[in-house]
Amino acid sequence: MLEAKNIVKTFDGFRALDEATLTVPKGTVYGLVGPNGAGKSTIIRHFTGVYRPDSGEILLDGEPVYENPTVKQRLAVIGDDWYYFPQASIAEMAKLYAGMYPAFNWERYEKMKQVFPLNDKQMIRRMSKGMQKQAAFWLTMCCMPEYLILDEPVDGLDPVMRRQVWSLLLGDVAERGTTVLVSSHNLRELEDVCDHVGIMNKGKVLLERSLSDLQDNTVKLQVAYQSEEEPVLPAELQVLHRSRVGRVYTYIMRGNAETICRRMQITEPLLLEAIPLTLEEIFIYEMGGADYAVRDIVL
Amino acid sequence: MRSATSCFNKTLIRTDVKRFWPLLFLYTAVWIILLPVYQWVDQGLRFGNPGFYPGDYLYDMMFAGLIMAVIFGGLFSMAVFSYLMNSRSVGLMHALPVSRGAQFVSHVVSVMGMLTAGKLLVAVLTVVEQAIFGDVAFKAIALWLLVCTLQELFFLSLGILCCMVTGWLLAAPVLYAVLNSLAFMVTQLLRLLGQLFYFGYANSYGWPAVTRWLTPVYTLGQTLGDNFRPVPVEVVNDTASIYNGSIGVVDAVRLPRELNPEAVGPLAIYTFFGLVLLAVSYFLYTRRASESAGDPVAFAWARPIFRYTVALLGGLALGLGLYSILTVNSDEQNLAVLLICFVLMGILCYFAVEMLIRKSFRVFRKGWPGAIAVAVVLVLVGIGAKMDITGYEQRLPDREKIESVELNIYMEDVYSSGLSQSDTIDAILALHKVVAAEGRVPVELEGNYGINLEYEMEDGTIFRRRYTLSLPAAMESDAITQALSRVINCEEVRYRNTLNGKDGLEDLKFRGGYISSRYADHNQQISAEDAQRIYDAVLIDLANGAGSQEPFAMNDKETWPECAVYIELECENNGVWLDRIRPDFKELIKVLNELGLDSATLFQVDPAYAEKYGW
Repeated sequence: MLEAKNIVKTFDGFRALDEATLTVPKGTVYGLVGPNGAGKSTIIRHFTGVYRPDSGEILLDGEPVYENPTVKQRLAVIGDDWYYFPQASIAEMAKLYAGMYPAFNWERYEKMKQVFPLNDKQMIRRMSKGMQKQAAFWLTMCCMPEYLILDEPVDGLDPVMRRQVWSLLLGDVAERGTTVLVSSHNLRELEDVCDHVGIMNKGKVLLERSLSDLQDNTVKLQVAYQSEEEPVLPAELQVLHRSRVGRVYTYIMRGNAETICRRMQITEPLLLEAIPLTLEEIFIYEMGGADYAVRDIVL
Repeated sequence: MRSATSCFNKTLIRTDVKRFWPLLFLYTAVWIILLPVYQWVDQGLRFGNPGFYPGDYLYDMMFAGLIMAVIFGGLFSMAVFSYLMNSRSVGLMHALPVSRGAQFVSHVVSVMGMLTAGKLLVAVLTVVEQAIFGDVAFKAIALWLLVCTLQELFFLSLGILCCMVTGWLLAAPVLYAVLNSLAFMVTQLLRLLGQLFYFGYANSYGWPAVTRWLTPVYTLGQTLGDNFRPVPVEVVNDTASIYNGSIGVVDAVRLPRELNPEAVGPLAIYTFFGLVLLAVSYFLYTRRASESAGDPVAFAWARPIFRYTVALLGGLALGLGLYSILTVNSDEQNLAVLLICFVLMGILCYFAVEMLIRKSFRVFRKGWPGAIAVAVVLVLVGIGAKMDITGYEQRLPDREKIESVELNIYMEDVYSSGLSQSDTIDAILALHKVVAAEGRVPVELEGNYGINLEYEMEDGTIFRRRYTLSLPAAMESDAITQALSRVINCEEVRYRNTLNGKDGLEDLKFRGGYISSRYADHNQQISAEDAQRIYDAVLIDLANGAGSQEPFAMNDKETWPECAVYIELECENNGVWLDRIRPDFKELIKVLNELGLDSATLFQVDPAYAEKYGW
């Protein structure tokens, strides 16, 4: 289990992380989402031991990560700005990784030549951004990490390669129980791969839950009433958002779909339909609750 | 399984070598040219000649080793720690499962290993080459290796320290250069300020010990650059003198060069401090935040130090420069203008540093309290110095602790060192006191009058003052005139001034001498007997009061003829030079006349003066 406990990090007076607490259960694919500047990359750099928190602690299976090489051998990272030595080729960087990670698998390295259409003797800086990203995946996955931390991992990859990379990652999760923490703005993509989600804003983790819990806990209702006027809704229902098109009302409510539908029967609707929310919608409504000014624009 | 907690990481060392081999190649290539190649070209010509030692090459190259250490110590440190200056690269390196401490040690080991490997290759080539010529200087080669390695350790440590305190690659070499010369710059600044503010301020000759020790390039260069050889013991023929560049004057065999014993102390001390710097750098590295990449100053606690040091020193130095430009045509000191210059330049430096630290031009709103603080401090420094709050100007040395005094009064042609008699010291102190109290008058175009005083104290320290008086003002001051008269007419001053530092009590055995004229074509060898006669005559004259003079008389060429001859009386230990003969040295003039020198040859005489004395 990868844990961040009450992490505070300040840069020149700006509180980038404000008592952020986050838990990545073992064997899960954890999607970390949040608006720009929420602190996702900052907390990821704490998880990889690059940043030292001002306060709080980062733990991997109960052991601190910062300045703990034994623990860091178990995790690997692909940052949004993956670095390679300017004169290095993939093969040369592989030697560096192999020297650092005891579990580095040369057999896998050779096999992945089939997956990534790259010349491993070519200097990485001569490659395109997407090819460099592939190289990062190639090398990182050969480290056979127990924990894989990815910051905007598929940025710059073409759709086929994205699918390929996700397939590789999920294969590792299934076969080796790799735990993946992934930060991305592509919520539709995360929705397909994540089983846990954490939402960050302004340096705090607003919520973290399994995706199914999250989807169970918020529901989108489409309702049509007999009368022109909207009836009074049961007071115990927590309406996050409401909108109207003609006689059809759309509500976003917090709670279980079945319970909400049962309670809504009191309004005698002509039509009542519960639609599961996408991760993107959950993100937008949660952000709306956190004064994130996009909700009205999107809707 | 590899240890994750080792104090260094082999992979990192290997990576450093792979990445920075061009630097190693350059380093080794330069050494190969400096040693084996140069030796090959030169040794072919010189081998087998008397006084030629192959080890001399190695000692010559110890100074080159200093230059190489300064250059490559800086380059290598900046190369291996350059990743700290970029957030992407520091992200990679610090995410690796190697502790920061192990990373630091690995980089240091890799650089020292590369430098040592390069030198070892050069050493092997040198040995092979010397073996071909038939004489291998093993000791010199080993010493060369050791001395170069120790110097590299120090300068590498200094370079690493620079990399630790900054996150900006451009700042690292600048900081490295500044640290190597900071002591000189600050000393020079303080001297300029001392000259500006304090009447009588005198520099020490050369650089103070603290400045020299804080400038390792200078200290090591002084000792390692010294072409040290043991004292020759065997008289041989002149063929050996070829290597001294002065055929026919060398009368002793050249012994092989050795490491200057004076270099051992500085080498040991700088090696020790190199290790201290490494330890400090290690400590800083383990505490350095990765996010400081790109910041000119990597540690928050160091920013105020950097900000105010640059602002204050920059304010003083640049303020002084601006002041000298603005007052280039003025003799009088204008404190108001000086303070304005200090404040302007101080604020300018403060905001420049602030912009650098904040990486923004928008520093004025938040920065003004600091700028005001800098301005206030600079004004206080200026006013405090002007008011002489330290009492520098009126301070006199402790009479009881004075060992001797060196006196130099240019216009009286008085230069005497080793003055130690009680009367003399009292007279000099009286003069010092009256000059310090009354002498501060702006020097005008009519002329100035210089008095230098150097008191050697019991503890070996030197108390110096250098006064430049306004000549007209000094001549008008009875107190100064009387005090001067007392000093220049002291018996000890007269003796030492005339006899070039001798007091006339020495038992001198003359071997001969010569007399030469400055203006007439007269050069004359004199015998030992004549040299003794001249010396005895001078002593008689001095005993009769010759050499006495009135202050400021030298300014009047009509009444003070310039001595036009130079007499050297040679004796076993040093000699006596007479070049301050005056008309009142009657016995001496009589002897010189007997030796064929007329008064017209002895003195550069004004016609009116010659007529007055019947010459």
